[in-house]
Amino acid sequence: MQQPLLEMQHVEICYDGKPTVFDFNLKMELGEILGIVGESGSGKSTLIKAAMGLLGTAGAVTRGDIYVKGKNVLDIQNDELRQMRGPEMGMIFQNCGSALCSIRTIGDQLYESMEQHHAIKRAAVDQLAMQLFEKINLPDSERILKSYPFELSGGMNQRVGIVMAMIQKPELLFADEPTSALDVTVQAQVIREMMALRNEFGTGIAIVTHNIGVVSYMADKVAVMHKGHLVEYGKTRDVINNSQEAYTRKLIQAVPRIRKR
Amino acid sequence: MAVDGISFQINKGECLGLVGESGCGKSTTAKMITRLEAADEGGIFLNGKEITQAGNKELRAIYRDIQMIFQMPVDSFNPRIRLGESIMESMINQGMKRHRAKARAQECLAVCGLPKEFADRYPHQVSGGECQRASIARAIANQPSLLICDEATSALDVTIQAQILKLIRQFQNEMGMTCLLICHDLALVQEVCDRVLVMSNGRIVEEGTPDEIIMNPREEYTKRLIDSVL
Ligand SMILES: Nc1ncnc2c1ncn2[C@@H]1O[C@H](COP(=O)(O)OP(=O)(O)O)[C@@H](O)[C@H]1O
Ligand SMILES: Nc1ncnc2c1ncn2[C@@H]1O[C@H](COP(=O)(O)OP(=O)(O)O)[C@@H](O)[C@H]1O
Ligand SMILES: [Mg+2]
Ligand SMILES: [Mg+2]
Repeated sequence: MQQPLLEMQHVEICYDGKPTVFDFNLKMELGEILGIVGESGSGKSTLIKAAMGLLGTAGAVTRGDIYVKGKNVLDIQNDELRQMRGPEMGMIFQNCGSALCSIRTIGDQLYESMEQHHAIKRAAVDQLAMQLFEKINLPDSERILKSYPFELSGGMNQRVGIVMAMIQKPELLFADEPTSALDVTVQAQVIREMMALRNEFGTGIAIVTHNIGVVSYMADKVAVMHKGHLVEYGKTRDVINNSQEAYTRKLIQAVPRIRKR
Repeated sequence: MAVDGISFQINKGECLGLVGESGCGKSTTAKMITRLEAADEGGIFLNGKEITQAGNKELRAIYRDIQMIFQMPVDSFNPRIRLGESIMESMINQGMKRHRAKARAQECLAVCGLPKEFADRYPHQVSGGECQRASIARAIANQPSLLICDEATSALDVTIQAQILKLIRQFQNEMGMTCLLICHDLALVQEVCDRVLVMSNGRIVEEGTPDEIIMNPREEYTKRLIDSVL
C-alpha cells in the first residue's frame, strides 16, 4: 500500500501552553491539492509551520502525530528535516520575497539552494530558473538572476520566492497565501504554474488562501478552519456547492462571485 | 508620468469603480482628487467648483466633503492617539465643540458595529478589521459627500469585507453619499458599483456598467483582467 503524502492525526498545537489548533486530522494523497480556508487567526499558518518543523521555540505540537510519506516529522532530527526541506517538502509564504538574502544575487541564492540537494551545474540552474520566471510573467529573466532583492519590486521578489520553492520540484508544497499580495493577472499565472507542477511532477500542494475562487479552481479537497478547529473537510465540489456547515456557508457567501454572462 | 490625461465624472449618489493592475495609477488619481498629490495639468471639480488650485482655507472645507479610506487602516491612524480622539480630530478642526464631537464619534463607531469602548483603544489594541471599521467611522463622522475607498478591504477577511461593503451601501442609501471604489476585484465591483472605469498605464481604457464591461470587454487589457478571475 502506498504511504499517504501527508497525514495529521489528532494534532494539537500550543503557543505558550495555550492550545491554538485542536485535534486536527487530515490525509493528503500523492499529487493531491488541498485548499485550507478560514478567517485570519484560525490557525492555518500554525498548522503549516508545524508540518515543516518551523514552529520554533514559541510553539509546540503538544499532541498527535504528523507524517510526511510515513515519516513522523515530530520524531526526526533537525538535520534530517533540513535535508527534507526543499526536495521533499517546499514552502511558499505570503512574504517569501522578504526572506531572500539581501546581499547576494537572486542567481547565487537559487544555485545555492539547489546544490545543497542535487549535483547540478550553475548553468543548468540558471536555465531552469529563467524558464520558470518567464512562465510567471517575470520577463527579462537574465537581468533578474543578476539582481539583488533590493533592485526588484515587492511583487517581483515574491515571485522569486515562489520560483525558489518550485525549482526543487518538491513532492509536497505548502503555499501560505502565496498570491494575496500579487495582482490578479499575476496571481492567475502563479496558480496555473502550480497546477503545471502537479501535472508534470506529481507535486502535492497544500494551499492556504482566502480566495475561494482559487480553491474551487485548483483544489481536490478543502479543509475549513475556524478558531483552531477543522469544521469541515471534503471534496471541493461538495464543500463549495453543498456545505454542511453554517460557518463554511457564511465564508462562501461573503465572497462576491463574478457573473460573466 | 503616473497618470496621463484622464477625464471622468462621478454623479451624485453614484458608486463608481476604478479597476486596473497595480502601478497603473489608481492611487495617484485618488490622491489628486484629495489634493494629496498635485495635478500638473487639467482641472478637478467638486460640486461644480474647481478645486485644482484651492488654497489651505478652501482645502479645509473640501476635506470635510471628501473622505478617503486606505488599504492599511493601522497606518492611517496615529499610533499614539486613541481611536476616539482620531475620529474627533477633524470634527474639532471644523469647529465642532468637544463634547459634541465625542458624542458623534461614539455614534459613528456604533454605526460601524464597534462598541463605544473602542474610542479609548489605541490602534495596536484592535484587529485589522476593527481598525478598518474605525477608519470608516472617522470618514463618515464628517458626513462626506464623496467617499474614496482605495483598496480598503483587500487586506481583510472576506466576512469582514462583506460587513464593510454593507455599511458603505447603507450610507449611500441613507445619506445619498457618492463613492469612488478603487479595487482590483472585479466581482466586488460588479456587486456594488453602478459604473466602472478600467485603467491601464495611467489612462482610462474603458468605461461602462460593470455588466457591460465584464460581459463585453472591448480592450485586450480588460479581457486579460477578466480571464484572470478564477
Ligand atoms: N508566535 C506566536 N506566539 C503566540 N501566538 C501566536 C504566534 N503565532 C500565531 N499565534 C496565534 O495563533 C493563532 C493562529 O495564528 P495563525 O496560525 O497565524 O493564523 P492564520 O494563519 O489562520 O491567520 C492566532 O490567534 C495567533 O495570534
Ligand atoms: N511617490 C512616488 N514617486 C514616484 N513614483 C511614484 C510614486 N508613487 C507612485 N509612483 C508611480 O506611479 C505609478 C502609479 O502608481 P499608483 O497610483 O500607486 O498605482 P496603483 O494605485 O494603480 O497601484 C507607478 O508606476 C508608481 O511606481
Ligand atoms: Mg496565516
Ligand atoms: Mg494603489
